[in-house]
Amino acid sequence: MSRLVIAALLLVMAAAPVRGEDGDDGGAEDRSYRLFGTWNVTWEDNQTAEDDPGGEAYQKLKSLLNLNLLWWRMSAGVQLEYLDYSDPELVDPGDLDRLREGFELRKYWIEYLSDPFDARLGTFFTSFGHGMTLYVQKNDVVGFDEPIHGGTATLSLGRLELTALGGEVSEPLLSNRFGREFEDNLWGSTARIELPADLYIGGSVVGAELQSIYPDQDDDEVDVWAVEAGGVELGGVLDVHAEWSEIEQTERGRTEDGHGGYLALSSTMGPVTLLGEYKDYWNFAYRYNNPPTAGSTLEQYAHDDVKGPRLMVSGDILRTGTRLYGSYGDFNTHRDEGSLGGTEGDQQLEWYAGLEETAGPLYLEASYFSRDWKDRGVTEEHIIADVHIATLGGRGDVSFGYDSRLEDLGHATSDLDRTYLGFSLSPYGSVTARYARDDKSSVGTEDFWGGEVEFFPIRDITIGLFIGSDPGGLVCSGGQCRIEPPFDGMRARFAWRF
Amino acid sequence: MGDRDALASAPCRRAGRAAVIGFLLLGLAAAAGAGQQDFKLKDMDGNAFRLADHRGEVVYVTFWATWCVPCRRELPLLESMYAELKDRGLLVIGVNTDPAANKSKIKPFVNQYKFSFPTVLDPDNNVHDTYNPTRELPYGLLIDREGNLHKTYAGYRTGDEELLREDILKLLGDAEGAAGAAAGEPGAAQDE
Repeated sequence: MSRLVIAALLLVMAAAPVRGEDGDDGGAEDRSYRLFGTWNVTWEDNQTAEDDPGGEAYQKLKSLLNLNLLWWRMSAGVQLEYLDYSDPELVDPGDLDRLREGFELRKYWIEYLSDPFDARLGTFFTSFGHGMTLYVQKNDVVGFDEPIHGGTATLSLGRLELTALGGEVSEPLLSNRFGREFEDNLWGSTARIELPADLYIGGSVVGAELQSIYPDQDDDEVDVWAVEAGGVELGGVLDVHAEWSEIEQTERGRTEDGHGGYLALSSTMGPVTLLGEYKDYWNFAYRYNNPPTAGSTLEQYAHDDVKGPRLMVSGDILRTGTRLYGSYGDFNTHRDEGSLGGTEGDQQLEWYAGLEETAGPLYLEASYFSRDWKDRGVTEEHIIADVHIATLGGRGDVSFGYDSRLEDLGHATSDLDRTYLGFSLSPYGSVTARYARDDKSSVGTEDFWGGEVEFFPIRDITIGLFIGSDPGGLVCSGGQCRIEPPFDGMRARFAWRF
Repeated sequence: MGDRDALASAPCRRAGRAAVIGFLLLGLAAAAGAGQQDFKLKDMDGNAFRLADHRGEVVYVTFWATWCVPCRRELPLLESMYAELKDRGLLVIGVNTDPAANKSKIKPFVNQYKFSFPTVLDPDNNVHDTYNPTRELPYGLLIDREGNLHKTYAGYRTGDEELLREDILKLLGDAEGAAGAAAGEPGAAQDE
C-alpha cells in the first residue's frame, strides 16, 4: 500500500513541470554542455593480512573515474570503478572492496532541477529530517559507499515541499560480514510546510524490506514515521526543532515497537551561543537511520536505549578572541520498559570542553572529552591537541597533532594514542610523519609508524604516497581530513580534477 | 529475496545504467560548449539555495564539516575575503557536509564564528560526491561569472588563501591587483 502511495506521489510530481516550465528559473536556461569530473587511482601493497594465520600480502589497484555532464536544467553522472587484486584469495576480510572485482558502475544518475520540481533517477544518498526515519550514506569509517539505486523527486509549491523516493540499497558492513550482498528495498516520503511567524511543521514515512541475515527466510520489515515542528529565530534569538518518531520492526515473524524523540533549542546572544538538546530513543535503531547524538560529533553513540539532556555553551565567552566551548550531558536507559538485557538503569555522565585560538602565526586547538558509565563502572576519555605555526612568509606550516582515546572497562583498559608531525609548503604539498600506539591490557601493545608525502605538480593534480601502518579512523594530514580504514603497507595515490 | 533480485533488481539496474551511459555518450559528443554549474540545497533555516541563481557573480564554494580542523582554519580567512570583495562580485558559499543528525548543531557553530556568507547544507553529500567522490575536506570550487567551473582546491594549507585570492581577483577582472598580490604585495588589491 505504501509503495502505491509513493508511486502516486511521483506521478503527481512528474506532472508539475509541464505547468512550471515557463516560470522563472534563475538563469539556468543555457542549453550548452559542460563536462567535468575527477579520476582517482590508488595502488596498495596491503600487509594487513599478515597477522592472520596463513595470511600474505596482496596488491590492489583501484580506479574511480567520475564524469559529470551538465545540460540545460539537467545533469548526469557516472562513477566507474575498477578493482584488481593480485590474488583475490588473499584479500583481508576487513577490506570491503573484496566483494567486487573488475569494472563496476558504482554510481549513475540523471538529475533534473527546476522550480518547482526536482527529480533524480539512478543512484543517490538521502536522509529525512534529522536522520531519524531514513539515512543512507557512505560509511566513512570503512571508506565504502553504497547508495540507493532508484529514484527521488521533490515538488515545491509555495510553502509546501513534498519529497518521495524509492529504490534498492545494499548494506556494505552486513554484506562483508556474511560474504554475500544484502539487497534491501526502501521507499518513503517526507513533507514540510512553512507556516507564518517563521514556524514549520513536517513529517515523514518510510517502509523497508530488509533481506534477512538467515538464508531462505522472509525479508525483515520496517515501518517508521515521524512528525516534526519548529521555528527559526523566534523572537529574533531562538531556534527550535522537535521531532517524534515511531518504528515497527518485524524480524522472523516477531514484531517490536520503538520510538525516538529529539528536541533542540539554540540561541546566540552576544559572544555566547547556547545549544540545548534532549533525546529519547527506545528500540529505535535499524539499518537505515541515524538519529541525532545530542553530544559531540567526534564520539560514537548507541541509539537503541538512551534518554537525557545536554547543554553546550560556546563562543568568544571571555571576549579575548579565544573560542571556548563546554558541554555537559546526563543520559540514562529506560528502566521501566522491559529491556531484554535486564537493564536496571545505566547512567552516563558526559562532558567535554575545549578551546581554539589563532594568534599571529599560531593556531591552537585543544579539547578533553569524558564519559562515565556510572552503573557499569566504565569510563572513556578523549584528548585532542592540534598546533600549527605559520612560517616562510606565510606559505609554510609546521604542525603537530595528538589524539588519545582511553577506555577503562574496570577489568581491562584500552588506550589508542596517535601523534603526527607535519610540514606543508603552499602550493607544492606536504610531508607528514605519523605514529600511533594501541595499548590493550588484554592483548598487548601495537605500534604503527607511517610517513606520507603529498605533492601538487599543478593545482588540479594530487600525487600522494603513504608508507607504513595506521590503525584507521579520522586522519588529518597535508591540509585535509578524511576517515580511513586500518592499513599496513604502501599506498600510492593519484587524483586529477578536471 | 533471491527470486526478487533475479526478476526485478538486476534488469532494473541494467536499464538505469544503460540510460545514464547513453545520455552521457550523447553529451560527450557535444561537450564543447559552456553549460553552467548548478545545484540546489537548503540553507540552515530551510530556505532553498540554487547556484544557478548567482550567475554573474564569481562564486567560491567551500565544502566543510564541523569536525574538520583545516576547514576551521580556512573558513575565517574566506570570511575576510568575502567581506572585502563581495561588493565587487564575489560570493562565498559554505556547504556543510555534516550528516543530517548534526543539523541542529550547525547554526550554533556558524554563529560562533559570525560567518556572514551563506551556509547551505548537503547532509546527503550528493553534491559533494559529484565534485569530490573521495570526499576529503575542505574542498573548494571556483566558478566564474558565466557559471563555468574554473578551478578546484583540495585541502587547505597555510598560504593557500593567497593563491585563491589571486585566482578570484583575476576572475573579478582585477588583473592588476592579482599581479600585485602574486608579486607579494599584500594589500595591493584592496588598496586599488
